[in-house]
Amino acid sequence: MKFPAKAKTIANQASRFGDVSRKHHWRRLWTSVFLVLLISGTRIGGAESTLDSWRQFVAENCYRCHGPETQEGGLDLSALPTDLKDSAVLERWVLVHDRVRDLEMPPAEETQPDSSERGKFLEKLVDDLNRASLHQQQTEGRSRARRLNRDEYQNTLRDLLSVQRDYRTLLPEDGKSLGFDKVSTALSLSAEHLEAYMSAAEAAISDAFLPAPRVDQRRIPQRFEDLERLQRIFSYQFKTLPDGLVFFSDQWDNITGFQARQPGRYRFRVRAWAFQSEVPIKARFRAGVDAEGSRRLVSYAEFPPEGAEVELTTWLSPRETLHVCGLGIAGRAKNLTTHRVPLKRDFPASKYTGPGLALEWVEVEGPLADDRFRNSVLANVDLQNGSRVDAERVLRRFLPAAFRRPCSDKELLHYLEIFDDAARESDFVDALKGTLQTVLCSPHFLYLHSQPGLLNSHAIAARLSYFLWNSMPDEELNELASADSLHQPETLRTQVERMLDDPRADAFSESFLGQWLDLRQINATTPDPELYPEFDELLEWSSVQETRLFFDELLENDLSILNLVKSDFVVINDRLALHYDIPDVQGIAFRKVALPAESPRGGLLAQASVLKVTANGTTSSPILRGAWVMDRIVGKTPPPPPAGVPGLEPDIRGATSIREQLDKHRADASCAACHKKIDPPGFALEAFDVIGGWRSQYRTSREGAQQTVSISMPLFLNIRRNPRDPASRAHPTTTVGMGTHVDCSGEFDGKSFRDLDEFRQLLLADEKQIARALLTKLVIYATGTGLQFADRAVLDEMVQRVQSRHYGLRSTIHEVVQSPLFLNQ
Amino acid sequence: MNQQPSLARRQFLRAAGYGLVLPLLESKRRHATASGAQAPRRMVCICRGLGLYGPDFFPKQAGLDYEITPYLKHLAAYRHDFTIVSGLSHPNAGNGHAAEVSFLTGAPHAGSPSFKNTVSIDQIVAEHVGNATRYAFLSLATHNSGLSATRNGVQIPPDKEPASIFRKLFIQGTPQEVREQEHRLQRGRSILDSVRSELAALQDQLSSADRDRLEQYATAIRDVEVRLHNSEAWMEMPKQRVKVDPPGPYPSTEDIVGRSQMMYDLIHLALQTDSTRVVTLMMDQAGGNGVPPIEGVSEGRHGLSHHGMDPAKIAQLRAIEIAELKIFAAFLEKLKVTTEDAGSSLLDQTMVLYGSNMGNASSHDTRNLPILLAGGGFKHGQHLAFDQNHNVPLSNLFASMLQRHGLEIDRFSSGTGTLTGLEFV
Repeated sequence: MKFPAKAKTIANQASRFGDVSRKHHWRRLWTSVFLVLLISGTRIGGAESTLDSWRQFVAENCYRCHGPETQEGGLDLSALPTDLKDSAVLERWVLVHDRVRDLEMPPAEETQPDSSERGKFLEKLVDDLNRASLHQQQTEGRSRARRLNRDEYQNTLRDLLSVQRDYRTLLPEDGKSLGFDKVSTALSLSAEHLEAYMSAAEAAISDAFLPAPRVDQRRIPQRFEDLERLQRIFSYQFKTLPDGLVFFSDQWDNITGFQARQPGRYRFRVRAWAFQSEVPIKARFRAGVDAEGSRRLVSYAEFPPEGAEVELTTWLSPRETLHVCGLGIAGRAKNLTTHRVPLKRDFPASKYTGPGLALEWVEVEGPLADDRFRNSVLANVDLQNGSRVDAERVLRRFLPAAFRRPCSDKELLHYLEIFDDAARESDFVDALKGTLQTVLCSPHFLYLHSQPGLLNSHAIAARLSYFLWNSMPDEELNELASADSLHQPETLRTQVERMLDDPRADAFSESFLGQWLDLRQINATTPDPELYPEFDELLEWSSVQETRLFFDELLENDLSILNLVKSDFVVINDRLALHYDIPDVQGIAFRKVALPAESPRGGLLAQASVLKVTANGTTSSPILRGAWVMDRIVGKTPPPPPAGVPGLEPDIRGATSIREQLDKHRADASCAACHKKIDPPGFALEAFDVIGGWRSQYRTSREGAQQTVSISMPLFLNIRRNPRDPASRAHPTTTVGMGTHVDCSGEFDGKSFRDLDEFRQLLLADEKQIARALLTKLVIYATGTGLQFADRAVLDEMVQRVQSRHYGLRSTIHEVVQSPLFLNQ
Repeated sequence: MNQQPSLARRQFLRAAGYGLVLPLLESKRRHATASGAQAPRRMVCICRGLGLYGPDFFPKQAGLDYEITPYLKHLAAYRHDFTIVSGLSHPNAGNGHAAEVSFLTGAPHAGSPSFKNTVSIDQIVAEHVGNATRYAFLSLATHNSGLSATRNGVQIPPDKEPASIFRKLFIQGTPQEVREQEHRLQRGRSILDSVRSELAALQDQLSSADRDRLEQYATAIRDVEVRLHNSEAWMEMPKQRVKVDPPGPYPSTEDIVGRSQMMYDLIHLALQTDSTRVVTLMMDQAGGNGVPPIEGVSEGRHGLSHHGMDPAKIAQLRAIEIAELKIFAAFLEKLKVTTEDAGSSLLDQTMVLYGSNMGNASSHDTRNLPILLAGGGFKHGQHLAFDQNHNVPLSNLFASMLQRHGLEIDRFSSGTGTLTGLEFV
């Protein structure tokens, strides 16, 4: 342990929290004792007041620069109050503690206090800070009440009302605090929100009461004659086969002969094969309105020459359809095309010998009915001629589900009165809808809140489900909560296992990784097509899949989180294998692949997704990437950049490297103080370009290039081996300019490294640091609040236990859930 | 209404080029004009998320006699109707696109893990305008998020679809829709009553810190109540009718010029009909990766903004930005030729802020922002040049704008006062 806190066992802490909750009067007693002590001018802790002694240390060692005379950085410690029950004051003293503990203050060039004096000071300060922080947690709760964020709200409506439309678009964007949209301070509520919640509730309730949709289920044979619109204009790009239809062009997505009439989720099965091709052809599926602009990516798939069936499920609005597009066949899109064959009117499809995507049939089923709401909440209620008794029956079922806890008679009565009022002016179903809409605007629905102390079973169920599913608890969790068994560690463990294995846990990896690693920013930039011609959408999509599947692999098999820094395997498909230069990986499916010894890959820092979101599409900045690694992986968030300092001006003309520019920057001592800590991880990552390709030289615009080199275009990999088509025989290449050489060396934690691999070794030298950083992010995500001083000792215990579980990721999740930080408000 | 339109009214109609049909009811504005009051003041704030290429935008000389620059050439006809300001920025804005959200708020450290936004300038003006217009403000965006933020820093979801904005402004609902709307307002009040009583009961059970947090909820309830009341008042007044076809299909996402053109047209209509007096428009945002359909442009807008000093990229960037400036010039033209009843031009009464949260988009630098302020009753025609190395807070300009609007404030957000050298007419 780095600081001399009194280690408390987890059990101890838990029971102390527990006492407060169970014996409510204790808390009040505590508070009154505290008040008395305050009034009498003594601090908590009674007789041995330590205030004076640490105040004296500060006066002797700090006031010269941060005192009444001089206030460097605007800090006057003599004016800083010592009332630690003020959380802002407490936070300031925690900072003072940390700077002294880390030997950053007093600065090296000043007279240093002798080490025993420093130790004594820290020990006393830790004691006081700990006590104050703990006291705060006991009286106010460690975390605050918070409203659901947009994703949670959306998923909760889905599970509560069996509705599937996207209501998020109706709500304002959520803020983020400490990097996550789960933190109370980021989730403010304003009139904008309340109005939006009122409309979203109206829309969702209205959807939930729609009559069960008529399910459309049929197989649509793919025939050219059905595509009238296309037939007229682009007949030369298609050919009818006895058993299907073949597309020779990827110029646009082609419709599958189906148009949704009702909104909902639809399941598609598609049978297709690679035509005039010896290798599989990849296909992209998107949803949208035919002949209109924007489309959403549904998925990618692959069809071999002998054919295959692919199943996809997607949400469709009325008029929308599923579009399919063969990739790597002829077309005009610069990066997607292998065959520059002039597909024109005078070149009929019948004579064309290049590859195409042949569709035999498309099966569609939908909207996929979800009757849970009708069959549970509305069961046995006659919506046409309902009575007050029916309304009461509905509310008795609905309120506990919406509020995630049993509801009181008083609450039931409250909503019955609302129903009565509404029923005076409208019919039964309308009054009922209005009442349920009101429930969805209630603070009990919109907010997660609890009293300070140990969470009750229902609150644990909710915290668990919003942690691992981003949604409300299901029936099993509710039953366990009602039986009050969620406090049992074994039950909790079983539930976490069950929840992680449930498909709803996808929401955890999407949301947690999406924010922790910025994966949600994956398409924020488009790589410069001249510098990175090989970049394509499939690579972008694959890179996010890789990171999520890699994380899932660790989670599923309880593999060590040290793999996040360096792993001897990757989880990739053929597109990434090409990008990473890993041989013998064919096909679009992802699989675990052992890395060749010399490969620089393995671990998050060498994944294309992370490398792309930390660059701007044209250049990478070691400062930004360095700060990112320090915050996300090392767990030491660098301070924000000082005001008035210009950013580095990227220059791709080839004359100077970013490293040379940076060295100038760092020559300034005041810059160097922080940048020597921030930049080095970024130096190591310079080994990878903005799309995550490995590099030893920077790419530059061709005009300023020292040399140009030829690179292969991926083109979805189905070329080269099609001997019948002369145009596709040569692997297409293009040239890019090359400039200065990359220098990956740097110094981290006082030790120098030459390249990425040595840097990763230095990172791994402090295993606990990696574990602590991840645990911290998980605790923030799961409990909606940052780490407080009193949490430090608990976190140390958690790190210890995770270490004893060989740093397994699944064990780490269990550790979070079983911790007092999770189980207390 | 069978009386002859006044001369001013006729001019108004002709100049608008839109053939405005007289409103069925006299609006409050007309009423005010008749009693001799001045035309109302208005404000439009426009932000371009990806910057403007500085060397072609900023004049080299300060003052009135600056030499016109390659970009300003396209606005030269209104040279005396706008001021260029250089050397402005928001202190501690932080690097990168995240600072979009603080362009009108001045809140520091956007993009830092615990960033908290503050109120945007337009919302303060909107509060001041209150119930005088059907909509206290419009927050518009061509792509993603908007610029307006509430008193507690919440991003207000912008209107993004021209057709629905048009409907909101000018299309009277069918009797059925009106009934539904009335029903909705009634239900809204009932919801607020319920929530208020639940909240009061809940407050008793919470810790004091949580009570503070839930206080936001109580405030929100009160605010929505006021809004419901206002909507009700305006529901009785028919909407202004304009003889303009509703907007056609919205251009696709990469056609940033086409999209902003449609937004400019709507803003002009909204101001002209006094449907609102406060508009914000966010356009040209990061993430706009498509290739705009502009002669000579083959790369996406965002990528080009990271030009890395490559001359070929800069040439393409210019083509896009000039196309955008040209339609902005056309917007100013429309405001200038639209005469209000009181005789002044719409531009005279409308402060138009046009700028970007990016100083140098290539390096994500948020200092030395390109800023243009047109119309609205300031003495224009000059280049106000502040120190490139020690920027003046952009919020100082905002304070001047707020004062011009008639608000008694000394400074705004991170500002230190008003903008030196910028004077009222």
